[in-house]
Amino acid sequence: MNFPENLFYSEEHEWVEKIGPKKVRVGITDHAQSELGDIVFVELPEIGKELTAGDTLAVVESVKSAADVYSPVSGKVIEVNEELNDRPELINEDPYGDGWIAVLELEDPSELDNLMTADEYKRMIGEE
Amino acid sequence: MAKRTAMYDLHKELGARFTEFGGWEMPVRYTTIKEEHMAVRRNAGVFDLSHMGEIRVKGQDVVDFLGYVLPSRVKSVKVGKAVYTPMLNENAGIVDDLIFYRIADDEYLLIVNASNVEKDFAHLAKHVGERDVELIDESAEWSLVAIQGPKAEDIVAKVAEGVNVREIPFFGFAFGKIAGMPVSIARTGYTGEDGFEILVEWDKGPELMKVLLDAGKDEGVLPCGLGARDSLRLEAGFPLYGEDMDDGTTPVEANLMRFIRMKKKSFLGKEALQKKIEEDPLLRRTGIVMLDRAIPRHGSKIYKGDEEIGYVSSGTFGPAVGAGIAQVYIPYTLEKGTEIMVEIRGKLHPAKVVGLPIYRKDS
Repeated sequence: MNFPENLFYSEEHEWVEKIGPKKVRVGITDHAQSELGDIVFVELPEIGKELTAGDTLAVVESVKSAADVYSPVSGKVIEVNEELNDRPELINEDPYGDGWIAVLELEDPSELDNLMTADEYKRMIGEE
Repeated sequence: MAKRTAMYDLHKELGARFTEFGGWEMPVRYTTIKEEHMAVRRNAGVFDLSHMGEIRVKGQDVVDFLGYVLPSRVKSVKVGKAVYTPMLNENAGIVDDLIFYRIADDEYLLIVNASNVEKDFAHLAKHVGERDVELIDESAEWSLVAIQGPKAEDIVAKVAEGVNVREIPFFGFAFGKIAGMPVSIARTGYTGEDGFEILVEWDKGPELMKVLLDAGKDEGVLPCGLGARDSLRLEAGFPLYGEDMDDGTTPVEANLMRFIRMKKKSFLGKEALQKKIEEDPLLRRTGIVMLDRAIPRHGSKIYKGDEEIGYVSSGTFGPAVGAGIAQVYIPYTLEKGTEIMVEIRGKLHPAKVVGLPIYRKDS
């Protein structure tokens, strides 16, 4: 399983990639997509939605069940991956690339310090 | 702690992810639910169903007893044939749904849902009365392995000895051997495909499963978990006890009246059932397909216009349908093709009434 070093990770199995001083891209980890299995539907947030860290950002549904994706940081949704409407399986196929979920404008970039490094995340799921 | 079947270690070897179901730790999938589902629709899949219960009923008065306690045909069922039926309580509520085999003139074997074994046994025992009938819970003695899909017959024919499986009729069964192990092979299933459910001595379960997987290697057979079993039975229109019906549901609402023999002089729950038929309850089980990509789930509310008209009893993504599907309780007066709305996470999503089954092979 793959956990890129340049990403931040949350306890709820989301990843965060810093793509600008106040901009991050968010998705779910390889571990999360593997646990969920075939993803068949993604309910994306509306652009402009203001989120506090821990709020539901999106819902991903596998054949078996629906799972909330929590926003790992606080901020405003400025872009969503519309491609997932037609190809939700991109999350399974490329969780850190084409399977990204949304881009957020950070309220407070220092929130990223609350997240885990790849090594810390790997340790956490190893312990689960 | 959840119980494990004899095949637990084999499931682990095959890379299964587990889930708890009916008090059992069972494989939910080995690869992906979609892949396993499509293997059954196109080729074949092998399932461990050993969590299900087996209750043997025998004795001089067995026909009289089962004829009373089951609302289906019983007496006229020939040795070597099997029947699907709900079992009812005094109020015509469904205690369980089951398949019984007629083993001999005075002997039947009931295959019941895992979570209902004790309830069913107590229900049967309560109604035996003075009859000369013996009830034996043999759930711990039998492993049950299903092989389902268009290639199931070819695969079983390769390994079965002492029985021509091609001659076993739909809902018939026969005894034979597979890899030297005595088995009972029934042409029954829960997937909407041709296939077999095979009983073997508990400890021999893993070997039977391995033999079937090996024999089907070139036919694209896959081990399948309860995830695919659920999506397959949903597409096929079969109800799941505990989700789509329970002790408070009668066969009228559950749309199972075709399995009931109302012509029988008497059976447990008949008066209540007759009354229910006359009451003509509006909400009945049927099937819907979503018209967008949303997935309906157990409990989702259904609307027509502003009016709440029913609910989803079980829903999932139907891999062969290619959309969200559900078994629902809505007014039976709604014709096939009617558009309705399903509330999913606070939003209304369009769906269409399609009836049961939801998926048809030739459609």
